[in-house]
Amino acid sequence: MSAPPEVFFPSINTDWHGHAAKRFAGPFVGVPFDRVDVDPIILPHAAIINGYTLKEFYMRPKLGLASVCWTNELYDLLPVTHWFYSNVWLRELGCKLEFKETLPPVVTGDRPIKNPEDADKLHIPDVSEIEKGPTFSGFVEGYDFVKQYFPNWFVPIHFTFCLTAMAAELTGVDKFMLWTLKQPKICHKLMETVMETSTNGAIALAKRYGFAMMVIGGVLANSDLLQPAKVKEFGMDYHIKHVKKAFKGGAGPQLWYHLCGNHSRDYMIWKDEFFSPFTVMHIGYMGKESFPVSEAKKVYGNMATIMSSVDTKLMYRGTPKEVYDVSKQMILEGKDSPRGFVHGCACEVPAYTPPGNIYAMVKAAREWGKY
Amino acid sequence: MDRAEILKGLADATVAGDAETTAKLANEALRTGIDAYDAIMGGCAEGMKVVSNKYETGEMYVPEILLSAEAMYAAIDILKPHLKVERAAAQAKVVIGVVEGDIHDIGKNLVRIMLDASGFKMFDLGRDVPVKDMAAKAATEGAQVVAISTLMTTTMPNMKRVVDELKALGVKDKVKVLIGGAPTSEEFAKSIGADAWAKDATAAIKVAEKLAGR
Repeated sequence: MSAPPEVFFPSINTDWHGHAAKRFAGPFVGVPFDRVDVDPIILPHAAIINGYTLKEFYMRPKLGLASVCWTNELYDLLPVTHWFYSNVWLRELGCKLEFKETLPPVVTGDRPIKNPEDADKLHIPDVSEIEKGPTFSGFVEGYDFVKQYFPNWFVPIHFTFCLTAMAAELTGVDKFMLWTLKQPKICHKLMETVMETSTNGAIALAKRYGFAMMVIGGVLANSDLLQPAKVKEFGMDYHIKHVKKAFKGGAGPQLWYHLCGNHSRDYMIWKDEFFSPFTVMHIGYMGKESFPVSEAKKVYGNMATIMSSVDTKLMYRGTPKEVYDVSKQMILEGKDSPRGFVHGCACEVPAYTPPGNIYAMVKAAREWGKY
Repeated sequence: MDRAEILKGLADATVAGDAETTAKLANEALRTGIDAYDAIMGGCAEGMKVVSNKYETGEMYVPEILLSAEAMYAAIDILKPHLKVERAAAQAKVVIGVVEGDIHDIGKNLVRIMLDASGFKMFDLGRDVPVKDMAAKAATEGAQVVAISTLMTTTMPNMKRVVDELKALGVKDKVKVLIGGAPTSEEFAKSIGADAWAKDATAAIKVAEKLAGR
């Protein structure tokens, strides 16, 4: 298949893709293929190693998605592509997004909620309003492009990000944090608003593409910032509602939970999340250290495919030998997890990670992750 | 109420996040002739030390810290105009900010609160602070410490640019650079010529005190 002129990568090797697809399906069908799969969570790194910029990755969905395809073949990673960013659907709720050279899109300027009374003025966009909004059009531009030029790679993904963090962005993080104690009803109102909006976003994508894998994060809801009871109250409880509603509207069935940052004190509570048969559970850190694979396997191994977490600091500043050694240990601990195992990074691989460090993860999987 | 009761009351109300009580006790301190500086350091700051310890042990989290900070500032707002000039002048100065290119400021805000409570004079430049602004502020204020944070690997190189800019301004030997944030490390701090690294807000207090020679 020829590549489109606006994003000029050579066509992807179909033999490689077919092989990678069998490997990718292994954990979810209960039949491991040749080896452990590797997913360093490639996002703008894919654009950067191909000569583009971080900002271009986020501003040009087609480029972002195509560069991930090309990079995944280059490194021998997953046979699916993805493009997403945090703070999704917030423009529909009155926030302004800025695209910067150093960061994924960030909320800037005045927040729509300046005082508690403003919460009553929030309007939750329904599915048809979502379909006309800027966020949806960005996803459609990218996904329609993938369907046309890389159909075998196509998996529509609804990136829920972290509902807590999104609610906090409506008013500013510090204020939201304080309000969890002083104005909890307002915080719940904001949580409800982002949850319903995000659910409508997932349903809109599912309506257009037939299904929508859901990627859900616990980013602000973590053990460095909130006590476990608050992580549940202002995080997980809304995840459950969100997923159930979105599934009823046609989204799913794949789920990927990404618990970003430190979850040393709250990781057990996420057992009450909603799990489909196609769920990946990924926990970033236990304190300052990578979350132990053995603990992830013990707690979540019978409920979900588990994903390991090579420290992103090591990916960025470590040597290939260090990454390889850590990867080997994680793979040996996790490869026999009952519902499968994927070798990954604690969060999105840093954009300027040396390529040799990603290859070190793959090399370890090839040598120590064989089935 | 005697002096000890007022100071203890200020500390306890700070820990409890009770702004109404800290404001009331600040006024009471002034009325009974307690030095404003002593009320801040012996009352509010003592309370924030407890908060800091409780954060470290997982008994308090960010919302609780912010509530305590609100109570502390309610007292400080009343006490500050009464600080004796020589006390204020003796405060070590810290310029703090999130480095150019990054906007994640939860950690920076916690450090600012903790250092404020520890008696430093804080100049908070906010987030996404241009490298030149950070260095220039340190130079013009005669700061003892520049505290820089980032959450992103993409903006870590800008921390080195702050160090380089301080050198270019000829003040690096007078200003100590303290860095922090999730992707940073002691090794990284050394590699860019920073003077110290703090793993979290609690550690930042001890490190800043050492850097400022207190």
